[in-house]
Amino acid sequence: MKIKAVFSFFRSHKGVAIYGALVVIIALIAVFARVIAPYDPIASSLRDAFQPPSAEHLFGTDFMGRDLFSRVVFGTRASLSSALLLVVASMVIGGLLGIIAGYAGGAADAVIMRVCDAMLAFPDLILAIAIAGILGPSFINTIVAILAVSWTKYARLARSMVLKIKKRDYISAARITGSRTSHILLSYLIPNALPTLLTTAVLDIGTTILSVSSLSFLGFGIQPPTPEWGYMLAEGRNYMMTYTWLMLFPGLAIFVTVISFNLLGDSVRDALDPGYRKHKLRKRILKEKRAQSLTPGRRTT
Amino acid sequence: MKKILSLLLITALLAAALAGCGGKTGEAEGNTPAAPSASAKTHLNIAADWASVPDIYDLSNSWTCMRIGVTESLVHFGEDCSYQPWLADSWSVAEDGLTWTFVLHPGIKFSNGAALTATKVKESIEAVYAAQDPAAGGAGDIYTFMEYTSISADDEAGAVTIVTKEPVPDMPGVMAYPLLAITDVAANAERDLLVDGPIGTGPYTVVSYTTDHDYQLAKNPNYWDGEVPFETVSWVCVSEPGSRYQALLDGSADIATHIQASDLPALRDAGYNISIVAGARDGYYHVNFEGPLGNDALRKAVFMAIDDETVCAITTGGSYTAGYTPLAPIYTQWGGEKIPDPAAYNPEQAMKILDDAGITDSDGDGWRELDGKNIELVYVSNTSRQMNEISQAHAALIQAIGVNCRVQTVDSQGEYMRSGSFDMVNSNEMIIPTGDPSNFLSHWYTGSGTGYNYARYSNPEFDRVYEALKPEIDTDKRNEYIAELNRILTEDCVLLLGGYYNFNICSSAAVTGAINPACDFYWLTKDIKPAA
Repeated sequence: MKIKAVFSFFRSHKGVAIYGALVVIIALIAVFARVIAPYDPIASSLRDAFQPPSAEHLFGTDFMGRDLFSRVVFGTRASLSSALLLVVASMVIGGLLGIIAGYAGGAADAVIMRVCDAMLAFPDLILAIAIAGILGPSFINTIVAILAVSWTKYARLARSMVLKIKKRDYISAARITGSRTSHILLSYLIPNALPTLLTTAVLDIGTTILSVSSLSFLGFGIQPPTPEWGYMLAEGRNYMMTYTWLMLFPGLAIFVTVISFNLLGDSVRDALDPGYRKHKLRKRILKEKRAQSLTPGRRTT
Repeated sequence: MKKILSLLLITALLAAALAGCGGKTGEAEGNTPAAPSASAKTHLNIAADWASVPDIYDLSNSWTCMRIGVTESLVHFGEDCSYQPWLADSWSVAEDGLTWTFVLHPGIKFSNGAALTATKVKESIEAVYAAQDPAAGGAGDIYTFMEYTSISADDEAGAVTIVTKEPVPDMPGVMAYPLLAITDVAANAERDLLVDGPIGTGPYTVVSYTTDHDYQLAKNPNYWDGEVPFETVSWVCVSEPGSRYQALLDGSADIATHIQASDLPALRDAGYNISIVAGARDGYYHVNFEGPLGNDALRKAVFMAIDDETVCAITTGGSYTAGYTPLAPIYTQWGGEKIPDPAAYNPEQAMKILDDAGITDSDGDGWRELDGKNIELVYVSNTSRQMNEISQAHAALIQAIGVNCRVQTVDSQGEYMRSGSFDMVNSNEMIIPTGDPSNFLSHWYTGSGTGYNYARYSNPEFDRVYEALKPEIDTDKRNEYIAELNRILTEDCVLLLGGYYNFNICSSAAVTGAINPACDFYWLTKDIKPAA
């Protein structure tokens, strides 16, 4: 019965099914990188450097003679894991702080929201670069730097949702019947805010992958020889005119992954967000009405 | 529908991008270098790898002022790094070995029209020493080259007399160094030096400077050494070598510096001029003798693990020439070609040395230990002149003999060098800054202290020879001492050479005379002219 329901959901939301499948393929590439990659992504063979794409090396080799296909495949791990870790951590930390700010109000709200405002006063990436620059280049520091600037979005969203939900009658009823705050939060507020937060999180994965790659490209992220797409782009840029493949394939990997997550995010929003669904429905009805009013012979009196 | 359209649009964009990238190696083959225009070319565009502040009182920034053709010094280095007259026609040293007299070329003017007099030269030199005075918080670099007890000026004879504290055998070379370029101190005082640049005697003057981005230069109307070929020059910092190459190809630059070696064949085929000089600059690593590499067996094995021929020829694409002596064998007077390589590439032998010395992997983690502790060598490296690529290649080769090694990429290595927080730290250094390598060799002299002897190397034999070299005036004797120091450093495996840097300047057919000098102080010169 449940499987039937899942199939029915995918049938009525084809976008989620198609883009979800793409994302699953990317995730499988990350999980089975060791099986898919024909070579060790770190093993170098200096004398085989700068080999063009061939049957032996599908994407060619880099300046260390490392197989680029294997590095791109293994790079999926770094990009996906860091992006997922970041999005989940941002959602949990930002979401919790937003719920606390919205529900408690007063000083807690003022402090949390002013910190948010202060963080939002700087451009995301610039602030992340500054933080990563201070902490030093590493995988963990990249996560910390991006997390420091990305949680604010979730905090503001969660707060606004809590402010809306807590005025509902069922919350008042829960309070009157003596429900504890933790019960109200866990049973009513969080479940109601979660779908919107989740939709935002899925939409955010693509952007986060770009942020991680940007920091790595600038030398603040994952350090060599670990394969990471942003750093691979940086390594290839010095040779972009002569050995084009060094930038092309990591660039394509970023492009395909980001676009897959963005399209999936859009489809998930269409499917899950009732507000957005209503908005689209209203637009469709308006469009149909306009079309009807312009159709000759069908004009109403 | 909208989503499908967006997807199609993106696919079309991607296809266009791929089509753009899909050209055969070296798009230059299809292009031709910018042809000389019919009318005389009056503006020159240079894509350079740097545009640092025009600070005449800072060691490295003083180079910029000379490279952009704004300042000149008393002495000039010739093609073979010999001393040639420039602002000074001649010089001599008295029998005491301390009193040097430089006679100025008559009729020279600064760019503001003021005459270059002996007094102006005296003021200029004194101003540099005052700004560099360590007692007043200055960097003190110039004091490592030469210290004087007095300077006197005879304006009528056009002669400047400098009495040094100790004999300075390479005194003409010291006076050729960009930090001692001659500027009009009185006129400088009325300018914001770091923006407007100094008043010098060079063929060009600074019109405007945008920090780390560009210099706009104009012809010096009072230039003393012939007609200045261009009315205006744009010197733009293009930090990516690939972008400088592209700037040459698309005609937005007439001259570009430091093009990556892998791009040079395409440029050459397309008819661009390429001027390359090797040997005067070493890409090398200071080895920390206070760390694990203080162990002779480990250090020798690490040196032996480096396949320098492959790293230079393939990893850097020929930007470096492989070698193992600190002073390149092309300087035959310093005996490099006679010194055998004590650690020629031989990974099997390297592993045997480690095994024999008990540096083995006893805990089975794949990495060898020294005195029971895991070894993890750290290469501290910046990205300038492909040093990061060399560091990564070295690290991979060292790992291949079972020694754990990683690369730490940094913007600037200075702090790491001074604090000793490294096992290997890269340097890319001009070895004959005064036409003589004694200043470079002082890196390994214990008297230099850890502020300059970054390796913390201590060898009484090296110190003895260096102390003999310092005051020696006789050229043959000096060469003997330098050759001896070259041998000691090589045999002791003291500095790990990445390679001798093949510095290049490339230019389109629209200009002539863009020649790369052996001493890379002179980039924009009066000799760069529009093609006839």
